[in-house]
Amino acid sequence: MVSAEEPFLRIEGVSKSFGTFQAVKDVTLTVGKGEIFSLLGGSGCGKTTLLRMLAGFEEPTAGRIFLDGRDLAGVPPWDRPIHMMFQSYAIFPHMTVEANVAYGLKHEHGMDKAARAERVAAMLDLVQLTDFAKRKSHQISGGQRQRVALARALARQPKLLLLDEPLAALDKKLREHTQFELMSIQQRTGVTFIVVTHDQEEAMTLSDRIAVMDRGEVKQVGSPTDIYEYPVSRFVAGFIGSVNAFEATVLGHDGPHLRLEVPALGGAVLARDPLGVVVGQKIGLAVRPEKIRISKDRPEGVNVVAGQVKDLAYFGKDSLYRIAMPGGALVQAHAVNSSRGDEGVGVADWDDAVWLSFDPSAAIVLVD
Amino acid sequence: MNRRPVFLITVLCFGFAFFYIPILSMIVYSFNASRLATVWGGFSTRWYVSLLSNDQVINALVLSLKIAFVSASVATILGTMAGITLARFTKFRGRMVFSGLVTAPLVMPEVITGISSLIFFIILADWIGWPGQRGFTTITLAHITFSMVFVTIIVQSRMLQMDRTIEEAAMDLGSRPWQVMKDITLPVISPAIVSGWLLAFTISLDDVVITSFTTGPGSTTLPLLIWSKVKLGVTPDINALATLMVVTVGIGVVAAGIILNRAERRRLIEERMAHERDG
Repeated sequence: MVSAEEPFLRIEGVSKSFGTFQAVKDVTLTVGKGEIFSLLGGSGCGKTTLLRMLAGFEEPTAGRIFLDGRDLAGVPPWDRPIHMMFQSYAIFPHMTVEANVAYGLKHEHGMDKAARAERVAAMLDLVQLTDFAKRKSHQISGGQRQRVALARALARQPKLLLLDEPLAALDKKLREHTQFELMSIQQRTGVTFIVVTHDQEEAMTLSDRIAVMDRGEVKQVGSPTDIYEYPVSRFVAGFIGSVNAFEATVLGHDGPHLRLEVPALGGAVLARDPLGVVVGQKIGLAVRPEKIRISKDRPEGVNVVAGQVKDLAYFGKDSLYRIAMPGGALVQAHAVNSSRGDEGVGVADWDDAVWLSFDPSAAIVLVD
Repeated sequence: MNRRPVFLITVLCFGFAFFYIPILSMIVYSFNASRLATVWGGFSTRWYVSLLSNDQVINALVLSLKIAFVSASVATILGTMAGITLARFTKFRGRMVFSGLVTAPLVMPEVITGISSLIFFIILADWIGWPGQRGFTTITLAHITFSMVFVTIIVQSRMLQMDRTIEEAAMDLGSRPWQVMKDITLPVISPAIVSGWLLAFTISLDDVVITSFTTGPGSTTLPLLIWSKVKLGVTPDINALATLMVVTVGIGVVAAGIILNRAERRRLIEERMAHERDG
């Protein structure tokens, strides 16, 4: 989708300072046409500031932004082919749903009255609000307000749609439904979406690609799978999903693998070699809980450690175990409750002595 | 909850009595047939009839309404601009001075404002020959200067409560700042502007002190007329005039209250219904 010579949206070395506080630090990103791209991070990570710079409400202190080859420096918000869906939805309270959606179209001077009415009707149809056209904002529900905001932002057919925490104001049940609706509307309209969110699950399900941000910097950009399975830093590994993180020292290379000394696990383990690490280097080791197997009997193979069940949480379809290592560290492991035997549902019970094992490919070496 | 707060109810009754018995007695005595304001001489509406045929009173009323209308309108325009400026522009050179100057009339004794306005008009007439005669123009100008601050404060506080993202949303959808002001900001704060106008109108309508300093021959407003008549003794036609004013204001306040209350109730019901649709 991204053309080789010029990406659709190019953010080049963009920084933003407010006084002495640097909200965004030297961010460089490219987004392809028709992509759903998420900026993911905790509060104060600079994602909203970056979004506001795209919308034109803030000017970058340094760096440039290009959309479709056009430099956006100095272009005011009202002249940008970029529309935004605000976190609060920002519905105009004194106008009907219909008038809200039609508002941006009054600046489309080439459009006659009939064409405008037709576009508004099409937009209301897209978000299934045709029956609510004449209502005002206080007469519609939160979910409907979100759809009005979406229809209003899409009405002028922007090149880029910015969504600031699009689902944060909705309750959990509605959120899941709306997530899929957003994706289907994006596919039907083909508009490039940039979503700001603090919710990693939301980012994972919605996005084609995610940029994980922390303290104004982009830590990693990649597909949801990349970010989850191949995090490049301790921060990203810890931010997305849950993870068991250990400190480790490189002992040596062992074929395609790396041999590591991990004191918390009481010995040496094998991990995927990320290349470029040297013997004696201190690194981080991360293993996802669902990639650790639990068994009563000692399994064959490498990366096998003994422990004792300290705690377990039963969720129905699966259980989360906390296993105490001989060294005192706690390791989390997820197990699907596939059997329903006489000896209880899970693989192990409180205080059981168990064996943990994981493949070398599941062990992620984190240099940063 | 059977224990009645006797003390509280007593205090409340005394409070209300203190406020309303004078007004009630005035209304009762406006129907007094006697020429003496404090001696009951039987029921009559003759003072109302004589009031309506009194050109002096009618002229004063018309002048008061004209001044109140013009000064409230100008004060609303200026006050709205000042309120928006103070709410929106949190940093500009001289903001403290500007804010202080705008709100000064609020704490300035009326006598001071009145005297300084009078001196100002006299000096101005000396220098540029305008305003030649004190009257409608000078009263209106003086009223604008001291009623503007009320509009400013009402508009400023409404602006501070307003959700700024709706203005950003309008800008984002292609509107320039002046279009945002016209399409979004002003309509949203319009209730505050209307109540600012009403307040400025009321304040202008019943002002005595500043008006008496800035008025000239032949320009007697209603409060000035009442004031000068009372100096010669309270006559029943003044009671009748005051009763008419109380009744008019009372009807206005009650009607506005009922309308606002109904609108608010309907709004709450609609909001609840809208919310239930999600659940």
